[in-house]
Amino acid sequence: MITAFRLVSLLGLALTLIPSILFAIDSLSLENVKTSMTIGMLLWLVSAPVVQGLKQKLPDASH
Amino acid sequence: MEATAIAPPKNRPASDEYEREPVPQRALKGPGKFWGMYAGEHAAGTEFMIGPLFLLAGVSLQNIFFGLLFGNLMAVLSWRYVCAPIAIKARFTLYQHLEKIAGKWLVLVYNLANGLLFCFLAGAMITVSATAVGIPFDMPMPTTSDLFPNSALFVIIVIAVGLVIALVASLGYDTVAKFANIASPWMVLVFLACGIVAFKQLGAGSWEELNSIWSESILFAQEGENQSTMGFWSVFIFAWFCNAAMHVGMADLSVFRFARKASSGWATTAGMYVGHYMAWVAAAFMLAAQIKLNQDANPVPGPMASNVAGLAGIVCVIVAGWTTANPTIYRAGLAFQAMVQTVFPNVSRFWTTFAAGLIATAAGAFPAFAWQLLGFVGLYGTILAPMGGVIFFDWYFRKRDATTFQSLVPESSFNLAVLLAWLIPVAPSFYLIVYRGYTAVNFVLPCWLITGLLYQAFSKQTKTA
Repeated sequence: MITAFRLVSLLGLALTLIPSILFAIDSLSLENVKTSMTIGMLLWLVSAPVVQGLKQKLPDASH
Repeated sequence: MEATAIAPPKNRPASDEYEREPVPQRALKGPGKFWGMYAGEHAAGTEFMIGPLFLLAGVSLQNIFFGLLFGNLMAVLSWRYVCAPIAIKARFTLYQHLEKIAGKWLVLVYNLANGLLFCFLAGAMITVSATAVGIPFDMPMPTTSDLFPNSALFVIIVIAVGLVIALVASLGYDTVAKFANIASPWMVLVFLACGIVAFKQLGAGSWEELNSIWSESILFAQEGENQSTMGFWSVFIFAWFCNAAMHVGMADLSVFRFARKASSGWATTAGMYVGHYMAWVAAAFMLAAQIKLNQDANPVPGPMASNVAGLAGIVCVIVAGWTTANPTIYRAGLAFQAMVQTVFPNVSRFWTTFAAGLIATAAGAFPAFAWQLLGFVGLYGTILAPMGGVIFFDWYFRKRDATTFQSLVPESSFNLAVLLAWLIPVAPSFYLIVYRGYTAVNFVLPCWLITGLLYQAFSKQTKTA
């Protein structure tokens, strides 16, 4: 479960940064950069708190 | 920019924060915790303001790159060799440490100054957030010539943003602190992405072209004057001392008291070179790109971020402003609570924090605080950092060690030697900065040194007498 959310959060970060690099090498339009960054933001802000929460629960479970 | 930790509330029970005792061995943390924390805390809403203000001040690109490179290095060294070594030996917060030297009443005076300055800093962050919140409402953006509110809508949005921040901070900012930790890796990447997009929009293929575009941007922003008010040394000093209250001012004793070794002080490299280098340069490029594409030199963070990153940029400005304004107001509230409790022992932290939030909101309605951020952080350092000089000179010239210092009972509840040593350099500096227009950040180091030396001299005299 945590691995899946981790992958989603990493995808969110990738969609935040990589589009700007593609824009810099003329492979993506600015509008698409903005759209990708918005999707990246949503993915990160939804998945990262879940990952954080699951990580905090793990030590409790071991008790 | 970063807010600092100050006095804990008196009515709070002993907790894992070790607010009234030295941090024990079992609670010490490795360097990894500090790297992440500093990288996140220095990617704040105010970074969106500082980079563009360099452009408006006519600083050359070369001076920005090298001034920030070496100035930030000096800031890192200050944390590593001035603040961290004392923190890992004494293991007290700034408040506790200073109380042992200056006495609790003088610490309360210091806290009042600290609290008020926090409110104005938070006010600038509220202004920054309001410029992003105002975009969907077609709010007329304040310009650098606006010292007062420029429209009723701006005031309404500032009040709305300020009240939400004040209320959340008053209820306790744990949730926001957690959210800030979660958001910080994303915010850092948004800053970087904004910089990359803005750089591309500038269309420079070489260093010469970039320099030429930069000079044209300055020329446009200064309406044809092209005058630089900041050279290499100004940028260097600013980068070194914009967080003076935290490193040479010793506010981050509260952070590094949890460090196993003083080498954790190197973690501040992350904050300085991510937040105060990459983010400032990225924000400066954003304004230059805005000038090139829209012929608009207004350094308002919301629209600048929206131009290069769309909704993600707008949200980043709001989150960056909000997550840093919240703890700032919370800590101002603690400072005020410590003050008010001397007269009204049962005053609640909720109301003192809410009052701090209202002061910050009122300050946020005046864009002048945001435009004057370069000067304000210098003033902030000039007033607060000299107390760190007292701690530094006290520790090394009185040859303190951890065991004796931790059991030290304050000699008085109001140490006059500390007060005089603080006021003698700071009061005239305050006059020269506020009323004569001298550059504030240049006063930080002289005030820090003079305060430390005077404290030594006055303490010796007191002992002799």
